[in-house]
Formats: sequence, C-alpha cells, structure tokens
Amino acid sequence: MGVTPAADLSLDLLGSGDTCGDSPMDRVRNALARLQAGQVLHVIAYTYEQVFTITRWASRYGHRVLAVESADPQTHIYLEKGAPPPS
Amino acid sequence: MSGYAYPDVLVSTDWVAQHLQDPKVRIVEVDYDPSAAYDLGHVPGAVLVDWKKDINDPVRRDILSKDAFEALNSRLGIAPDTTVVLYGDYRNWFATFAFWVYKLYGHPDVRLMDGGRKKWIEEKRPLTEEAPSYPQTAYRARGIDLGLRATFDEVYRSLNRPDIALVDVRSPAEYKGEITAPPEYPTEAAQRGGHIPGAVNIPWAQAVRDDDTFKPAEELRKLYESQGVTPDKTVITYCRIGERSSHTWFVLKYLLGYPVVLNYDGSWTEWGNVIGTPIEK
Repeated sequence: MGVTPAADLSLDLLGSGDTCGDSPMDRVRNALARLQAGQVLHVIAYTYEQVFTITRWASRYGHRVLAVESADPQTHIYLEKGAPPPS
Repeated sequence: MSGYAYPDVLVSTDWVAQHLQDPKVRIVEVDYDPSAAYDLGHVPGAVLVDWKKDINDPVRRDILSKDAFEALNSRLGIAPDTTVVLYGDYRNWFATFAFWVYKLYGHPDVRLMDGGRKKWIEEKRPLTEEAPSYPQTAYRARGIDLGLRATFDEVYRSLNRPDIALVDVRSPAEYKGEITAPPEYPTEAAQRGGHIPGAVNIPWAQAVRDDDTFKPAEELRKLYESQGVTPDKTVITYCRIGERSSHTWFVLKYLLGYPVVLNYDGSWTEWGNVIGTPIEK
C-alpha cells in the first residue's frame, strides 16, 4: 500500500448536487482554482460515478491523479493540480 | 413503472442496454458540461446535445428556433418516427429540459432514461469516448405547442389566482432570497433574491431517490398535493433558468398526469430582474 499523499486542501462531496454550481464537478473545479500548480487536492467521494468522473476529467485536463483509496463508503482521491495551458 | 400516468415516457437503463443497436431508437446525451460528461465516456452509440450550444439561442435568450430544432435533429440522424431517448449530466435536469423542447416541437416519441448518466455509470455499464455519426435526415417539426410553456406575462396574470399553483423548485435558500446565483454562473444572476408571490417551495430533488430515479407515483402525489399542487389547477413550475423546473414539469405532466402544467423557463433570472415585479422572501 502506497503512502497517502499530503494534501493542501480537502473537499468533501457529501450532499452536493441539488443546485447549479453545487455539482461534484463544480466543487472540484472551484477547489482546484484555489490551488497553485503542484499543490494537492484531497477529494472525498461517495459514489463510483463521482470517482469515475473526477479521475477521468482530471487526467484529461492536465492534472495528475496521485492516489485513489477506497474506505467504504468513501473513496479518497488525491489530485495534483497541473500547470495552466500556455496562453 | 410505479403507477405513472404515462409510463412509456420513462425507460430504464436495462431498456436502453437492450436497444443500443435498434435503428429506430436514437440515444441522446444532453449535457450542460460535456467536458465533464459525454467527452469522458457515454452510452455506446449516443449522440451529444450540448445544452448551451444546441438547445438554446443565446442571442434571443430563448429555446432554439424551429429551424434550428430541425437542423439539430437532421444532423443527429433523427427522423420524426425515431424514438428519442434522452439522458444526461446534472441529474437529468438538462435532459428533461430537452424533453420539454422535443414536446414543444411535437416530436411524437421522446423518452427519458430514468436515473440518467449517473445511474448508467453506477451500474458499470459500457461506456465509449467514440462519437458516432448517423446518416443525415431532413427532419421537419410540427408547430410549437405553447400549451407547455409559461411566459412572463402569463405568470404575472396568474398572481393571486386560486386556480393556479406556482411551484418554485429551487433550494430553500434560493426561495428565501438568501442566495441568487453562484459566481461561476454569471449569466444566471438576479438583482433581487426571493420568490414569486404565492409560490410554494418544493425542491426538484424531492422527486428522486438517491440514485436519481424517480420516486413511485404515490409518493410523488403526496409530495405535491400536500402543498396544494393538485391536478385540478393549472400548474406553473420555475427555477433559475428553467432546467430544474423542467424536471418537475416532467414529473407533474407525465408521471402524475396533471392535465395543465407549464414550465416558466424565464424563471428567476427574468422575474428577479424585471423592474416593478412583486416578490416575496
């Protein structure tokens, strides 16, 4: 078992999703926006769909998925924020 | 399904899985944010409708025109006799908005996948990143059915009418005027917070279970009737931009069979910004 990465910010997705701006992905994006490139976001997810979406989205858009740890019913996702694309 | 008035409008994920190769069925994913949904993987064979680009006219701040609706369906390979099955991100809000638009333009057979994108993924069903293409059609729509939509003037005239029920489906904090729109949705802001006078607050999510499938009809009937939203009234649903309210519109119109249900898609972004309109907090 690997070492759990140290996180700069933690985000718990419990209860999100009833309003625009409050979806799990909205909250992940907003949390990442508060970090600098190279910093780590710890996301506590509760469903397979959240884990699928967040990890695939992060990999596709330049962030690094450092670890995904299951601790039923939670899954802990650690994302390292990527550098912004060159303008 | 569960005692619904029009059960055929709702299909299960099993039904969709069994019709992936059916040439008379077109599966359509409707997303507010395709970059965090369709692009990451979708139901095999499903085409994308991007809610912001495809279903709306951002210049007129309106649903897409009849010509644009015809062009969209022609591009997606949909004919008037195609069974269109919608599902999407954000807990099917935008898919039900698209359902409403398909009904406005009179498409004969449009359905919704119960549970939406979330349920399909939770069940670990197949996903693909491949965007399919289908032979172009020459789709022709019927005229628009204005009996499904409420305008600002109609809502204004409905104030203080006991035969009309206004249903605000937003969160309690939005209903009370404690919040309007989050900063990342700048086009959905309003000058004032609150609700339309006389509206009852029944948040849209009370109609679904945790897996985003709809609750049984009896539970839904109790939910709405307990707040005075009964089938003998004309019911007008609204939210902030009309997409969460299309979800409740779908519940009342098709799952419970209320005869007259209108979606006010102007919603709070219109009502909350128009000078001189009354509000309550």
